[in-house]
Amino acid sequence: MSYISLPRLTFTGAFQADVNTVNNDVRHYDKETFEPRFQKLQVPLADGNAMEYNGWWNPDGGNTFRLMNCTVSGAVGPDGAPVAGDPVLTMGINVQFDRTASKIVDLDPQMQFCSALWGLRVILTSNGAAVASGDLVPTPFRDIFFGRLTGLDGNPVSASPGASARFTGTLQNVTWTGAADASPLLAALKAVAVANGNRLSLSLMTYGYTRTPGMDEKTFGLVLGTIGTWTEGDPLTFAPSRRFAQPAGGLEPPPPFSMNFMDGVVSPGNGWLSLDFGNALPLSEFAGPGGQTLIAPTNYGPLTVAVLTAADTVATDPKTGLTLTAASQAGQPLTADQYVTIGTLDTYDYAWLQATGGIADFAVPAAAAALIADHPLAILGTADTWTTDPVILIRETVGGIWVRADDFVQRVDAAETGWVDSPITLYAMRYGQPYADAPLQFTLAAPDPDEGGTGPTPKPVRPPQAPIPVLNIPDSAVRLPQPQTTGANGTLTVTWQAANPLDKGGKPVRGYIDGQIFNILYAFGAEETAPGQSPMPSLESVWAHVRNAFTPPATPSWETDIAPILVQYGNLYPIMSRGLFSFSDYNAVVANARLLYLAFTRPIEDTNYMPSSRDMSAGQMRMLIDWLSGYLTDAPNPSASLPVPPEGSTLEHPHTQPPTLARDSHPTRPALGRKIQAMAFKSLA
Amino acid sequence: MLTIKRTLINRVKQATKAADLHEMVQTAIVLEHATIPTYLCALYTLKTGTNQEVAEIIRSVIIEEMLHMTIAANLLIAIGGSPQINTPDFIPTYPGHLPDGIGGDLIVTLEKCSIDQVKNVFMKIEEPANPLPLRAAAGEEETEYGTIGEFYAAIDAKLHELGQAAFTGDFTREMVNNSWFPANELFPITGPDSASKAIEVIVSQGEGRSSPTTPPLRTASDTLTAASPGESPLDFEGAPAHYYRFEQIVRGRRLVANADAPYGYSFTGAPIVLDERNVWNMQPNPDPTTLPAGSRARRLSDQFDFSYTLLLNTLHQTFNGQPGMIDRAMGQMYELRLLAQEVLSTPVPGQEDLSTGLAFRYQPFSA
Repeated sequence: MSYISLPRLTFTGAFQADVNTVNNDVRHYDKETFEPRFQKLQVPLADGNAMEYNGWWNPDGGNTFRLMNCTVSGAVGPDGAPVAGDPVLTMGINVQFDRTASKIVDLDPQMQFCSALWGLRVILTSNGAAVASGDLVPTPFRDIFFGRLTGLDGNPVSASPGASARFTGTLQNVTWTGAADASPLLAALKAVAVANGNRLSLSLMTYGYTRTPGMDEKTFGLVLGTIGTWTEGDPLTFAPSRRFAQPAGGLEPPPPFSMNFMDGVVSPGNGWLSLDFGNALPLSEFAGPGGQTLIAPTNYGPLTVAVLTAADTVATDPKTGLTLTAASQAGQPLTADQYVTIGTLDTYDYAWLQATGGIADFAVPAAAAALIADHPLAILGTADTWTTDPVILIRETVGGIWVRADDFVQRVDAAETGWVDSPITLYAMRYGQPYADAPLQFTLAAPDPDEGGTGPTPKPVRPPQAPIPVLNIPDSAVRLPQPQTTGANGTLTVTWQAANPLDKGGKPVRGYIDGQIFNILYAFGAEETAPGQSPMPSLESVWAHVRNAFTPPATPSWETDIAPILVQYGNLYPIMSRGLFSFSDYNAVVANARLLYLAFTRPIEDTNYMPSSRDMSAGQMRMLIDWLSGYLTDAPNPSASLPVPPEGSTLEHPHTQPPTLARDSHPTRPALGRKIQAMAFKSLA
Repeated sequence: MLTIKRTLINRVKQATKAADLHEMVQTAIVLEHATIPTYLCALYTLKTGTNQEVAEIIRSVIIEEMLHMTIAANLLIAIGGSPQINTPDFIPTYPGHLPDGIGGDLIVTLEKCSIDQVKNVFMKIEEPANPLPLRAAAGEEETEYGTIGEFYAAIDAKLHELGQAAFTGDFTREMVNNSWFPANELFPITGPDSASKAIEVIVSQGEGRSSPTTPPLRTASDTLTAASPGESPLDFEGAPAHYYRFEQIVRGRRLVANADAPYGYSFTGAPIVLDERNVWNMQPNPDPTTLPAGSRARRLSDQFDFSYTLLLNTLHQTFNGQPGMIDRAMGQMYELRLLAQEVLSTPVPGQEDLSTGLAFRYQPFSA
């Protein structure tokens, strides 16, 4: 089950993502070449073609993420029918209650495409009183869709303002008050939650960033939220579903229709098909009542939801894995015998989007139900502007097959010597059902020299002087799992191993920034046979920050050990020194030792955790806390709850073999590169 | 010294059991909180990194008011009550009178930091008691108003009268985390004696080591005299009481020991300058509902109120069985400080030179 399934509720409102942008450029981590101007706003040059990026567009950002003005805008019952008259329709969505704002944090300046929410508590309220609440497990976004929005002027909106993304996660520790019982919809959600570890599924689709209607200011955007059911065994960070994908799916879906990845769920018994168009349909700005600028799906005429009559072929080879052959491609016109209509989406305007979050439910007719279990679904364009015959705008993955890692964003502490284990759990699906015995292979992405700097346009003026570190090296620091097959439930948990990422001279490989980013690719087969599916699209992989091993000195000193860490932090987060105190000032740090000690000893899920970037190694953290506790007469025993640097294992792990180092042999999955970097989530160039 | 309706003092005196005092001690909690928003507002309008002496003075008073609120809440817990902190009426309406007739005609406002604001509002709040009517009151007929000092003294006396039997609360629910306040200021209240000591912290820090009925008088523009020997402008820890701390800002000089001055202290220390060029020009007594819906100013203003209300939620839990929540509240206080800068750096729509204001309204929704 998931946020797409029945029953579910939708809410709409605004969000604030006050992301810090000094850390948009990895070179700002280098203390030796850091310049004060890197804490200032960017300065576009007069001709508009060049930019002095400085600290980019929001150097004072504090990484806070807030939901604002969110109210329930619609709900669909277990029977697939929109809910009417239910008290849930008058409820609001509140956040936090007794804690600071949640945080939105990149994995690393060189991996900004899976920024995660930390510490978000979501509270459903009625007249200000809580009806239900739950805590969102740390949730990265996926399926970022660049170029989604067309502005009022008819031109595409670039970078983050023109993009959208989905943060799909799981609410845990869900509690209810008696007020929930008055709502049949909530009673239905509650019944499933109570039977499944008190969890619910939540998805936030964020769009219109910095273009929020009525606002011309930065950090705000619009959000559509959906809450549905979660059941034991479901992944925590995505909906197990039937996946729709474009060939060679990138970050900007190709024309003509430019629909992004989307997901669908068929109800048990094949009675209902629920499709999430929420992050898939192109959007356009339009002038609403009173001249207010609103955002709605671009109207391309009626959309037909169909099941294709021709099945794809799937061949399995013990050596190369799956070979997939599609019976049809996006862009292909279909004759009447090539599909069976499930339903049509005639109206998908502003009101529809707000009320549904972009999720539509279709009763599956008998003729389609007979095919739906083992034939691909497709969205067909039928308007005359497209074709005289219905044309496939986007279709289900070849063979209905796809796989996704649940824990795809990882933070791993390396050991001084030996290997540290880290698990990955993958879910393979075929037509929405668990895909047993699916063969999976793992590779390390190629060295990537171009991440985390400024993009080519506008042309950077006076760029930072530090070099940009190369990612995915050394490959000797990673040992990948051997090819394996999924179990009967379609899942596979593998273990990969990390060693301390050092350069040839034995120094931390990225030099001025801790650790290394390793991009681990997973795929059904070694060869690309069906566009976009195997291997997976460029962001469909595991991203790990392996922090360098660090053994604290017995008696750390301010100058040698502590200041270098805090000065870098102070450089990157000027809000700290401007709003609180200077991290490079010994006296200020000591005077605030109590507060720092508190922040540095929080659990990583805590909203007050420092550093908010969540990238400090266990060894450095331990040193810092030990040092701070020296200034506190009554600090709790530091050894009780501190992070412990891992001890490496030198034994062969039963699940590993010598490193699989097949270099990126998949031309359809390029390294992200500068061009893409210019469109990073936090980019407003 | 703030005044308070004598009926409240009388109700304290008439109490026959601890429960009769609960409402009055809750009033003390409300009172100790009531001045924090107006002080915080002034503090936040000082642009970060500027006006450091003034900021430090105001901040030091705020921290003590927070301590006083904590002590009052602990006292209520000690005598079996439950502090109510996250209710709509917990925050006073600004501009307006303080609750329960406290402060008489004094109008407490939310304004940017200025000499006038410190002089006309802050010093009025912290002003030591006026001797004349009080002496009359002590003798014969009672006036309508007593002082906060009398109010606390009455509570203190009543607790001694009721004795240990009044202390029926679960003392482990008190917040006595000495990470944030030293042990000589914050300690468990478990009986009449520790209650007296705690009340003394409140009264002394507020107005100095003196009897509340014998306030200092001025004899010259830069000196300070006390009405009776032994009186001092310092509190029990040797720091100037709040009134004199604020007076330093108005006079532009530190209060220092001065053997030549009649009572040993004068405003002749180092200069203290309020640089008004580095103060956000905040709209006074802001009403967020007058800001255009959906504007950045409105969203941030509402968010500030919401974040302040969330802080009250956490404090409520802190004093209702989860004292460890104070750590979380500390994080919220720092967040509020950062958020305030974001609000203040946002102009009121159409008025570029006017900063969006901090309203400190009860706002339980993230609207």
